[in-house]
Amino acid sequence: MRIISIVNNKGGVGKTTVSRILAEYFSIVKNEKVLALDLDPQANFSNRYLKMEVDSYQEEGKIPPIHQDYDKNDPDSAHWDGRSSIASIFFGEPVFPYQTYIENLEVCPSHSARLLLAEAVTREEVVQKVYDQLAKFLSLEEVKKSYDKIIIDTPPSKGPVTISALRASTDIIIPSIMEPQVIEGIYGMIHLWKTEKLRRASDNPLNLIGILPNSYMPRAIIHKDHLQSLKQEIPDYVLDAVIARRLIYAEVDADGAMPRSIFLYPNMNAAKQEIMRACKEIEQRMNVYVY
Amino acid sequence: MSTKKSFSIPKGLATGIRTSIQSATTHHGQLHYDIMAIEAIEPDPNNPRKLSITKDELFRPLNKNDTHYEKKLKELTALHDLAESIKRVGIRNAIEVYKEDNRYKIISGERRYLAAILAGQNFVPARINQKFEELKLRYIQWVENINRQDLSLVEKYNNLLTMASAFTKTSPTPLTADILREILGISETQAYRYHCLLNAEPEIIDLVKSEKLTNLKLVQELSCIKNKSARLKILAELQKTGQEVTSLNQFKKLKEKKSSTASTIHLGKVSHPHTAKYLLQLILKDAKFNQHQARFATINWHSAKDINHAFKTLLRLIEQEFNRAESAIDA
Repeated sequence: MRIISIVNNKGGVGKTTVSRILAEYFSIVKNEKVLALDLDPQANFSNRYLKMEVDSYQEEGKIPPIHQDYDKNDPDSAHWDGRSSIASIFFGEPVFPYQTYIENLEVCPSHSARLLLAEAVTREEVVQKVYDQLAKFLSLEEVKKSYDKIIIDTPPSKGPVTISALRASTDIIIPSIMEPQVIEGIYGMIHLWKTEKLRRASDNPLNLIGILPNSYMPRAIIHKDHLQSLKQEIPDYVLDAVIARRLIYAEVDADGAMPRSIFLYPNMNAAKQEIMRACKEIEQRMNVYVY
Repeated sequence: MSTKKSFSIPKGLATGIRTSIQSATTHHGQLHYDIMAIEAIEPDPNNPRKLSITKDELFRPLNKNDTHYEKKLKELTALHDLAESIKRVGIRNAIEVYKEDNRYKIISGERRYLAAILAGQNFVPARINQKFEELKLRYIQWVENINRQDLSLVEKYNNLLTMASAFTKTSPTPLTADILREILGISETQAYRYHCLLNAEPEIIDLVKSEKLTNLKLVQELSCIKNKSARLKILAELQKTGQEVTSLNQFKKLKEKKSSTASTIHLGKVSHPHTAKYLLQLILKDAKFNQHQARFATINWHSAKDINHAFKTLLRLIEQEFNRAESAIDA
């Protein structure tokens, strides 16, 4: 089982887009069992697969919908309120993944308020607990048995929740727009990766798949120059594939979009071809390590 | 006017990204720290540095008849002091361990480990290493140990032996002084001396083990005495001496001093020639010595030099007489 986190402490660089692409690539194209985890309080990733509800009494108030298997009248369901989010693991509660409209894809959605709470912990012991909680959950035999890939979308921060994702992961990928502010964000992530990699036992490496240029405009000099200078500095860690700036990613996100995944477009679709190239390169780069 | 713009990542940022990546790829796993259950950890039985106290002895009263009683008592007192500080501030420096067969063995920090047990701790901070190849492990333990002030020569010797056996397991070439110098990073002289120790004959090693021989320089000097019987003679003498010997020179001086105090007698000084004359005449009247009267007839009793000479002769004659008498009795 591989656990891939999509990280960058800058917002709006394409973390959710890349998370979605990978979740759908492995479930639809590769026919693998995939679990998608949404650690971002903004809950955009969850919203692609579930109809998240809004709790108007809370700021950032997205909450998961009632679970498909929840039956109010079933005595077995008495111990929970029918909503389950990945935030539960930080509070020592069980997690119930939701089935999505894609057969091989399940999702543990976000819960804005509770994730913000986990992100805001400051007391040393509690912080340490948050760090390790996700790794503990994902190393459960039950989880390992049930899935081939786990895709984690993370909040735009370097806080405890992001670190917990890093600790749990086997691989990370850093999507980035080739613009100055975003590239500054790469440094923060590389630094977190370094800390985690030095900290881990050497038989349990954290593979940095690399930096995936997103929202790329091939004719924009600033994009081209930044990509080139990044490749010069760290040639092994910049993907050859890029994801170009296209409307299609917004379109498949829209309510009632048809088809509902980029992978359900015809093979000749330029965006799909580009995405397939990126996914194949990512898979290759994951083979550096065998788990 | 040129309108072509060009962009690049700021130099500092680029360097930061590049060096972070280098550090992560080359030092992977080297800061693997954890808080470990103390029961998962145990001392490395092959660590050449042996503490005099074992885990079992921590809570048992020491046996006064134990030959190492003094040493153990000292060690235990120090451990209790350390335990007190651990109770107050915890263990500040993580102990270092490696994994072998599902157990974690201590590379360094055995005292901290024992003191933590004394302090009633259930967990200790530890830096976890993969199992090293044996030579490297022994080398790390060597470095940990060798610079300690309180390490005796016999402990150093044990260190050296484990190092050497780890070396010969992996290398077809013999362990020379040069290789020792290289792997241990010590001076040529030190390396040569350790090499002498490593190849010293059993008699020397016995002395080292019985802690009669505690000085590395002396080991080198001894192994350099070419004449075997002379060497063994000195070794036998060393075995007998109760004093601490640090060099061959010192040992020789010690020996001379001893023999002179044991067997020669100074007869003292006199300032009046008549005293000497009186003694001389008295002795020459004795039946044993009157045959020599003629030899002393011409002494100038005003010359101190003449008198001294005469007395030397007289004393020699008396000694001869007594030696003869002694051997006659022996026979």
